[in-house]
Amino acid sequence: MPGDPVANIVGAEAGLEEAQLAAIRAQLGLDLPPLRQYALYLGALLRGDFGTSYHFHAGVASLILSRIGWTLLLVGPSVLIGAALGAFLGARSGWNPRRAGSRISYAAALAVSSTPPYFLALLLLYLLSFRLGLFPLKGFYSSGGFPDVLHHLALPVTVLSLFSTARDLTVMRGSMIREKGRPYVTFARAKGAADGRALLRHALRNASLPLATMAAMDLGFLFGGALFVEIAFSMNGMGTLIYEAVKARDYPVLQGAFLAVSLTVLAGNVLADALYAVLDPRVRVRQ
Amino acid sequence: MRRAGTCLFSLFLLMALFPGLVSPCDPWKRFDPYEPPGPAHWLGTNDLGNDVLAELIHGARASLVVGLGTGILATALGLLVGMAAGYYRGAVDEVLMTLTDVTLMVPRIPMVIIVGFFLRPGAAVMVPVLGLLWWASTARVVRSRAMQVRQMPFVAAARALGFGDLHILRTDVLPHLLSVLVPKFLLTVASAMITEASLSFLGLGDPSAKSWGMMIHYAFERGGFVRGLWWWYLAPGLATTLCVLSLVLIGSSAGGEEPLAAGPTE
Amino acid sequence: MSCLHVRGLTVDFPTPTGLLRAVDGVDLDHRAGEVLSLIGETGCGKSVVASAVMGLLPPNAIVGGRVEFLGRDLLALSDRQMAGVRGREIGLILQNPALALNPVRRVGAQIGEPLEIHRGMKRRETRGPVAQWLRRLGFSDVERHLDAFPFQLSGGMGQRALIAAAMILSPRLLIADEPTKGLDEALRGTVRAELERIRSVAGSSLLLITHDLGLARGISDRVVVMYGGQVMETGPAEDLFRAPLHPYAAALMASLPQNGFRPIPGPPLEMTDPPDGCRFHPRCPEAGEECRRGRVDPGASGERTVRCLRRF
Repeated sequence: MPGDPVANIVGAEAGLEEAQLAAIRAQLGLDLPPLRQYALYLGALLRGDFGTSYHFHAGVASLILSRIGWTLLLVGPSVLIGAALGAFLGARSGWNPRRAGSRISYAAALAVSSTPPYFLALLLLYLLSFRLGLFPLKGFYSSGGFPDVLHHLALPVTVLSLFSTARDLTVMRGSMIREKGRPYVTFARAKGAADGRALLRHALRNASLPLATMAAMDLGFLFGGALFVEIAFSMNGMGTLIYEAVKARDYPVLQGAFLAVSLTVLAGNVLADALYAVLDPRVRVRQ
Repeated sequence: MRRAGTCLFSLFLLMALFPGLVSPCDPWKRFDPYEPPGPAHWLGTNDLGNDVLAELIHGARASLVVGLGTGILATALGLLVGMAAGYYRGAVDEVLMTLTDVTLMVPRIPMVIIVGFFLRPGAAVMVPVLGLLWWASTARVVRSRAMQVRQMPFVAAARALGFGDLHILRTDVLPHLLSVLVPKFLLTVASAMITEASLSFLGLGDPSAKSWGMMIHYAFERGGFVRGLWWWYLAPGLATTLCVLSLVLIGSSAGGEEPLAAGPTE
Repeated sequence: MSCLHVRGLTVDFPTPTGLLRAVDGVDLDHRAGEVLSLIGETGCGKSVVASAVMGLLPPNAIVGGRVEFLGRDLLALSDRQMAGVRGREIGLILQNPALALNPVRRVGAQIGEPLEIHRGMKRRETRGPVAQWLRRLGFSDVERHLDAFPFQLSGGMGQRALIAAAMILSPRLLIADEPTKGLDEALRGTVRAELERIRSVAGSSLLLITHDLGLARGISDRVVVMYGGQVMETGPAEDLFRAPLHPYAAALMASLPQNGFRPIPGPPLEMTDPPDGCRFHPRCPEAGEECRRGRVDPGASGERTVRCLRRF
């Protein structure tokens, strides 16, 4: 990666002499072979030491911990809202795909999915915060306290929820259309099940399975979208952390942040597998 | 739906291929800045006095080049990996699938941002980077389809008759993969376009290319939002949305619901 | 007394290339208490007839004619009214239990579902009657199977579970759609025994739809032979199987392994473009000039009807 770390820390303009730079390098262990440096890094990781940020002058671990909570506050509700709303609308849309309402909600979901996340965020920010003054312009909180945080979160969570709802709606709709035609639905009807019962008691459970895995994986997807939302709304979460770290070439922070995001995504996948095992008896009982 | 998508997309394709024909003037030419839309400039002008409509039309090429380039690269890679894994199974499958899973685990947007910052902006850099991150989900889909096709009687028959694997893959397996490949390709293009727009918005795009994302970037950076110069950012934003939507419309009716499940914003 | 009386049933499906007529003027008379078999090759429309009777065709299908069940025209009923008939007065046994049972719900609940729907019973209350039926159908460890999931059952057990669900309200008419499809010889025998047993126990009429001629011959009272969406011949089972009148029926019998395994010549019928005149004439050894033109109507002779110009 380009950029001499020492020069980055010290600042390109400092104009230190070569000998002094070499001394700093030795102190930081940067003169050791790369493999040795990596080994040292891993060792430090295991001890819980993520290193120190060049740019923020703080421990990487504490930086990440302080920021990731906020990002989860943004992403968490969006995943849940998206799953609930998307499942509901998608199920209805898939069960009667030819109905006008179904077509409209599907088209709307496609349109939302096609919009760049930051564009939607900026539009809403401009219309509702800047022009109409309904919501605060930036940050996670201004005066502090629970209602204030909610007020600040409202718009960004809405933006992210729109995206996760659109995605989950599409998945549920497709899943429902597939299940609708299956023999067990016909058999349920043959036993006298009315439309509603066939939908709720039979098709819905099977149709939900792909959605469950999708919703848990949404965590990873939303991290990407959350990044832009955080930038647009000037909120101090993981997204802005990464963005600023990249601009400042702050490697420890980047490595730590990457690790943190990857772990979260991994956790999401594990959760998705567990959720699937709970919901699908074929998996659960066999184990 | 597909027809609407194709019509819409051909409009953008026209813009990208023959900007000179459609555009009212040269996008670099300067007029009075900050002009709202009017008879002289249908979409107004930006801070430098460039005609926004001209910028929009010329910008189509930049956005589409990245999108289509990534689509082709990612789909080709995904096809190779998925077909090999699904057809040969065994150790090949294990290795390739591990590679695929690892690639899928990487958080894409942060990764792209990081790489974007360290390398020079521009399509020549963006396409390979995006292509190398986007192939994995196509590989997964191709693999499961390849596994299905492999079980089919005509493949077994071909093998029994002594045809070589490569021949079978080309003549028997490949045609059946097209039905999943085409929607995946379209969605990859759509997703890449959104990513390019997002990256440009952050300032990581090619400043000389005037892509739609860069237009919004300048609008944001040079006070277009706070000054209410809606035509400056609304046009490229809508253009991106509509172009992506047209691809999604074509893709969703082509392959059924499942490929769309991933969505362009992944 | 007739249980099911079908007159002039037509079913059309809209396709991109036009309307496809899957069932073309079918007449059926199913007498109370008898076993009527509807036989024919794949694609002849026999399953479509069953779906039309049950009102389970896809919403874009166009149905014409009359389907009288115990005096009521089923085609005139709304879907809600029809739902009240399904499962209670007419039971349907689908083929392939692995697909017909909901994979994520327990077997006991699915068998007892008609009780919940039509009698308003609670889930717990259905356990008793369901267990009773399972025992009647030869399940050994009833308690365990009540709570099992479909994937835990073997093919034969699954088939019997479907039968239990269809029979649990003792419907007047039972329609069995290819109950032995894909089953091996031993299981086929079991299913046949079940069908015979339930018939004698509950006194229901059985409409058996199958291409398994051996099964049809074994348990039917009367037989209806279909080809290309039309009824080609009907008659008492033993008479028809021993001495079929229609050339197609005769060819079907000849194709049985025990009769020489002789295949029916010619390509199968294209339902999108049926031939003029008699539908079977391109493959019929007795076809004459008059068979190629004009519509062929069925003619009756005592207990039997035949749709063939060479016989009348």
